Amino acid sequence: MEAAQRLIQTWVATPRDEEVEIAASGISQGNIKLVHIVQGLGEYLTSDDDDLRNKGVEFLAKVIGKVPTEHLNRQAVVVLLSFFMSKLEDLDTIIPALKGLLALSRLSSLSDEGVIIILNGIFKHVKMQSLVQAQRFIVFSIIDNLLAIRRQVLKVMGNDFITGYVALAEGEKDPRNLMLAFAIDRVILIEFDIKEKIEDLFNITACYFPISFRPPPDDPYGITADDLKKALRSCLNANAAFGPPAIALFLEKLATVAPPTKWDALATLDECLPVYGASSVRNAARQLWNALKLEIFQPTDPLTEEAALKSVQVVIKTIYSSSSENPSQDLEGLAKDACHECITILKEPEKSQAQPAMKILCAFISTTPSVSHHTVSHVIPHLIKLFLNPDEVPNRGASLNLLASFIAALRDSAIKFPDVNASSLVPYKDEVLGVFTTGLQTPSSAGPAISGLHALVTMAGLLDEDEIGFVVSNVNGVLSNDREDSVGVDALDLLTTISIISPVHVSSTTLPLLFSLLPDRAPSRGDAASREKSWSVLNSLSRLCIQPVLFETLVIRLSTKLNLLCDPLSPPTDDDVEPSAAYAHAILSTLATVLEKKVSRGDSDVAKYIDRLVSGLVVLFLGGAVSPKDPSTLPIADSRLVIVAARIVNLIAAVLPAQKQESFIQKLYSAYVLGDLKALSTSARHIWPDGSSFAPFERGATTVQANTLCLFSEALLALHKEVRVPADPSVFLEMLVQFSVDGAKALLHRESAWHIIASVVNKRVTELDGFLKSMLESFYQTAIADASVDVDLRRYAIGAWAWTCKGLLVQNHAQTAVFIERLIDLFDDEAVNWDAARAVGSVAAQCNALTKSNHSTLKILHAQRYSNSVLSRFIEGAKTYAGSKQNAHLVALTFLIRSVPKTAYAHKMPTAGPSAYILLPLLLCGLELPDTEIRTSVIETLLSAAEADTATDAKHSKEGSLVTEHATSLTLTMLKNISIATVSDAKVRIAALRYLTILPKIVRYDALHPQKAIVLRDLSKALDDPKRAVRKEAVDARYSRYI
Amino acid sequence: MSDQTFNANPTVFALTKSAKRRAAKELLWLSQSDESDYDSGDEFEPIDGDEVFDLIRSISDPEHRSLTLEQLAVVSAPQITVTDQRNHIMVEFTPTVPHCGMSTLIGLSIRVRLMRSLPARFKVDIRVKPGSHNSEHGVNKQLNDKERVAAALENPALVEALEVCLATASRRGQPVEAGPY
Amino acid sequence: MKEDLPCTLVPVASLSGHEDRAWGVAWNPVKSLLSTCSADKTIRIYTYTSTPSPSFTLLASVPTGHTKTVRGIAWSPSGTSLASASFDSNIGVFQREVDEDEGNVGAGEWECVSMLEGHETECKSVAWSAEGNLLASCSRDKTVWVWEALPDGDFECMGVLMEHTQDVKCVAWHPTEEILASGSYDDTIKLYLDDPSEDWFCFQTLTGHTSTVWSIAWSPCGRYLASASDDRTIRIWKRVEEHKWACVHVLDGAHERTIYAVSWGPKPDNAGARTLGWLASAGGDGRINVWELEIEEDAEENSPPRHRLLARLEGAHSVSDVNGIVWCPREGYRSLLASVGDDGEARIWRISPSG
Repeated sequence: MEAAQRLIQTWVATPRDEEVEIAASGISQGNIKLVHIVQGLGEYLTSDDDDLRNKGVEFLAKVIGKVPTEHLNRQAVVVLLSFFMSKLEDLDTIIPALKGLLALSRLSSLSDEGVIIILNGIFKHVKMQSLVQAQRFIVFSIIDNLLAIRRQVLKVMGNDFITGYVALAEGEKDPRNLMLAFAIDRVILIEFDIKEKIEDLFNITACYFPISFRPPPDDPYGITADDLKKALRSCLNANAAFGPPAIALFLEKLATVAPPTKWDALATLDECLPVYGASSVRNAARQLWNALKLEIFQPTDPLTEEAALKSVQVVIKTIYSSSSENPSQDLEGLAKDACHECITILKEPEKSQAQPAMKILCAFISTTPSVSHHTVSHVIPHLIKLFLNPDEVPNRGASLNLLASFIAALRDSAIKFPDVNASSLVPYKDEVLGVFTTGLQTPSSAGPAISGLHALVTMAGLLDEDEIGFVVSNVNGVLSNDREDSVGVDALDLLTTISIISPVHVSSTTLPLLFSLLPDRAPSRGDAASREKSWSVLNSLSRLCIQPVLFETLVIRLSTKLNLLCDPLSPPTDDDVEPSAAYAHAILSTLATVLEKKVSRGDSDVAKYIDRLVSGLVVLFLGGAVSPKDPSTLPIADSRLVIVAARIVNLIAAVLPAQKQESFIQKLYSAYVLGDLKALSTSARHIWPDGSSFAPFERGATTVQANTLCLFSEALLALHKEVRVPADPSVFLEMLVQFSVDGAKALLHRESAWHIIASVVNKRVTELDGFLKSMLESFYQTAIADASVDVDLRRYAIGAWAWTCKGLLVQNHAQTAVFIERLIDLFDDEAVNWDAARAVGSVAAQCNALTKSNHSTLKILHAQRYSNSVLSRFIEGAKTYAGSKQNAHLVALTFLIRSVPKTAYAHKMPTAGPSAYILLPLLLCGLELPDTEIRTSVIETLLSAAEADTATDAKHSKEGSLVTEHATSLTLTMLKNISIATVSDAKVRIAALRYLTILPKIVRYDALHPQKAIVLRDLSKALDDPKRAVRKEAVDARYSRYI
Repeated sequence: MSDQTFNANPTVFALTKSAKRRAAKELLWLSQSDESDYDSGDEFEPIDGDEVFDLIRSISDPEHRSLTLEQLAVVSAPQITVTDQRNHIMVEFTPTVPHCGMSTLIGLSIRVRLMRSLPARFKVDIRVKPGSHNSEHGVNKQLNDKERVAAALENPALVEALEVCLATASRRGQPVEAGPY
Repeated sequence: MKEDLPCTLVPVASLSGHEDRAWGVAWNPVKSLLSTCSADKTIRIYTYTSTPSPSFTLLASVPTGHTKTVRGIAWSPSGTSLASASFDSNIGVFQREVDEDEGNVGAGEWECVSMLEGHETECKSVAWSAEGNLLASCSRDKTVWVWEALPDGDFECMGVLMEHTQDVKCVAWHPTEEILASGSYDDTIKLYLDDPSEDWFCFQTLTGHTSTVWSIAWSPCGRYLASASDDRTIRIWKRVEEHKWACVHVLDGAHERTIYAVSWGPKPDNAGARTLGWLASAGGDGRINVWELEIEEDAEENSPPRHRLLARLEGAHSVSDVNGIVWCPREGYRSLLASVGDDGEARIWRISPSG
């Protein structure tokens, strides 16, 4: 008693949770009696001081809230209940009283009568309008609790409860309370008998539709508009009885609101109609159709159109799926009328309205079997009739277009209802096939015809082999009369698709046709037309011949042509060899392109072409190189050919198993290093001219022979680690290094050697101590550092050095640092520091020599690791040094940034963090360097950063893009790079213009406005650039400044 | 703009492929890079009808915002004459219906696009295809009165309408991303 | 083609500064002031030193307060007031703040003393009557307004002339009598008189041009009227009766595009007795033509004045259209010609014998 008394006094004096806690635990431990507290409160409860009365009740409510339920037995609850109820009447105690009741509402010991008492009390005394949000929330919570655990009692109360609740819920505005109210509403709508209360309940829910709530920026409860929309929908679709009034409401809103509220309305429609059921929807069918139709025929935006189409489907499904009618019986009602309405519009297929009409019909296909069947059986005959109508000939393209998209839709939905759609098309199969193949004949309708055929062919199990054959032979026609427009391409795609389903037709009819169009001899220099033609045929073949059978034919036919063209013994009749070379090059490129596709697809048939293609090519080129008549007069003398051939060799060699590679490389090695060509003889046939000597590495080797080094190189690159070259690697590499420095005559030859060096260093480093040692100790001093050596030789030596680094760097080899250091030492040496800087900068760049497919040892993040080790240093150098040494650092920096993945330097780039400004000013200096390659790369770096910014919409982010600070200098620098007068390289001008275009997308208007006038003026000059591509960029750049 | 409709259901035409140009010197070698369209030597590429067409083909039709002038065959490459040496360009366009009240706005959008996109040295004349419009003379006279054009461009409402039509112009014949169906 | 003409136009000055197309140019008839107006909503006022080779310096760039393009400007005969016509449909009148120490040319702000509202749409041209007591303005609203300048710098509308069926492009007062001429988009020129008893009325409509009339200029003697048109011709109209003008000549083929401006200069200094002054024209082809016109000896009623092409200048404003051209009316400066163009520049030329 006293204890309770004391607690109360102290709490009333200064309300702290402490006393509440003590009281609560006291009660649970039984050393404080609830009655005592109630009695103890007596004086306060009777006080005239409103505040005291309030406090009194508040205290008790708080205590109850804290006491574990099991410690409040039935009659304790009875006491408390009557106590709090009595306080409900007093305006000054109503709030704490509600809190108390909230506590009680959770108690299982609360009797059913108690529940009823509480509710009636609340209904009687609580005036929601006079309460603030938090207090109203308590009321909703009480009802929510009771609804959760005392539902039965509430159901017994029936209409009394509903009436009372509706009165409370009416006019609620607060989102938090509404979330609770909607939850309550849904339960009532689903579980209670609401026959007489439908209107009331509809009013307190539908009045919120559609939700147009925008949460305040600092909303403590984080309730989104979406939460509310979903909650409201769950009420609106809770009871079919809402049907008629709700549909009327939806229609009214649809007509008035704009997106995105419109989308909400449509989505709600979709969720509700199925619940409201067929009859309600059928009664409103017309109005619904008219409303939705409008959104499709005059769409405000694509999303609304899409949503409306979905809703149309819902309407149809709701009306028709319920009645389990059999498809055959004739359709009545909306679907029939709507279908007819759309088909009428299709009578003018070329008009703009035909498109939406077709979209609707396509939507109908995936509704119910009956509707789908009806649609198909009316649309297809109609379009066929239209196509065949002589008066409609001009519009054939349009009607085929519609037919094509309809069949495509049919195909797609065939996955949904296989039974219905596939079969529903069968009766029209022949006619459809007929009109499409007819359509192929005329240019205007060929495109649609092809896409239609595409749909037919891809429709599972529709066409049989003969019909596919029929399609192929018709499409072949399109190929043979090659066309400017995209139809040719589409036709090829179709044939490619078919070649997957059944290659036989393509290989037996299409390929022969195409090959027949390929001349054996190269079109003469003047004959651009036939050259065009043969290119397009080759292009066709390259798209078509991916499948193994087709590829095999391709290789055979093209190899034959190659040999004819390049055969040393039967050179081109006229002495103009270049056309033949170019033609051969085109053929080789075709083979290479297809091989690349196949390798990326992981086709298993690639490997066998080491014998069927590669060895042939090797013989072709080496045979030419040693031919008795002057090789430089042969087509193969043109290095462009051997480069493509090398690509082919590499592609095929790379997929060989180790032992196959081994034997292959043995032969090449003996040929290239030991000069023994016999090893390469494919057949017994004596293919090499007598006394022919092959020594490409010799100082005196002919260019043609040296060119073939890249075949050797590309083959070596492809080797698995375990495959060994029949020589001491160190010796081999030293030979190559020497060759690359003073033996090789051309870059191609040098690079061939360098690639091998990089690759061997990469794969066999453990056996190369000797080599690396001699490089560091003697080679560097004698060939690179020694200023008395001819500068070109020093440059080549730096090249060999750089490629050695590459081989080490990509495997994170410990020695890398040492090699890099030696290059950086050269930054002081004016004669070669630019080359050294380039080398250091681009050493980590992606290259085709060291790749996964070449089985190289690549450590992940090696580039990042490298750039971390040097980036800051280059930045420092570029900032601190001056003159040529500064430039060297700048050059190294720009090439580094260009060559490593963005993540490797992102932390120093605009778009990322406070350190953003470290790099940008330096890049701007880079733009002042004369070297256009550097400038292009700088601008492209900035571009990629800018694109990242647009992706993250930095412009509208709080801090904005980090380039904003530099907007002015960036703009002015770019303007310097857009004028033909000052910049001769179109690449630079284009890059600069692109940057000027993107800048307004990432920088706020106010930052750019100051220069608007100058920019527009300078850009207007660029509008008159001699290069079309530059003018295009200038136009876009200017436009970006107008908006 | 008035809400009156002039042609609710116009004919839609397929997009034509952008003119593909051969470099002046005939190519012997098949080039791999697609970028070979620039940097191909320093030879001067004069502005021609196709280039001007690319500039205006994708302007949206003021009445059917989802359709371009090209799709409605309002503009076409053959209707454009460029005399680069004499700095003169003549653009002819064809209203979808002879009573089309949008013709002036269409012509204006073409003029503004060209004003912004062509070198200042060009004098541009714009006119409707002879016989394709009821008030042909009036429309032509208005479109080529630079004072009226200037005044129009100081009318915010009009400019707003124009910008909507011009927003799509930089697509240069590329179709919009395919719709839901 | 280089034709050898008796005279050539020698560049004297090139005044840039407008941020947008320059539409109009006007010489102050008494002070050494030149003003230009532009789409950039400003008026620039230059002062210049004396001949033979005057140099020009910017005196003021007046913000005007117009909310749209300033299309046309005109100095009052007294040279104290400058009137402006703007696309914002208002007519502005500007004067120099009176300040004590005269002589100091730089002193005194140019302030807008009154804004005349009344036109419904873009105003295109203004002109002061010979006496300076009347101001005429015209607009796309098809009307011509005649205002009376009241002593206290106020203006009162004397009449609204709704004769044209289309935009009125230009207005010009007869050099001595109170006769007003206006040219229009409706291809016609209309002449107006003030009926003492009645109101202002149109007493003649001159037809003949086949397209918009962009500019009209009275001969200093007042007997002739020249008009320039979008039909690429200049027509010379001659007074054949008290209140009747007739077309006596058509200058054709002198321009390849729209002719935006003509100016008929006063009798040149040291000119022959029979001379009618020099006529200059300019237009969209960027070309300036100058003709000398003379009275035909004992000519009968409607024979044209004798005319010969004195000078021709191509690309006066490089590739830009030339929008305005005016002879300097001041004694001693009459060989000076000012032009403005789409390049936003004003250029000053002197016509002088070739070779």
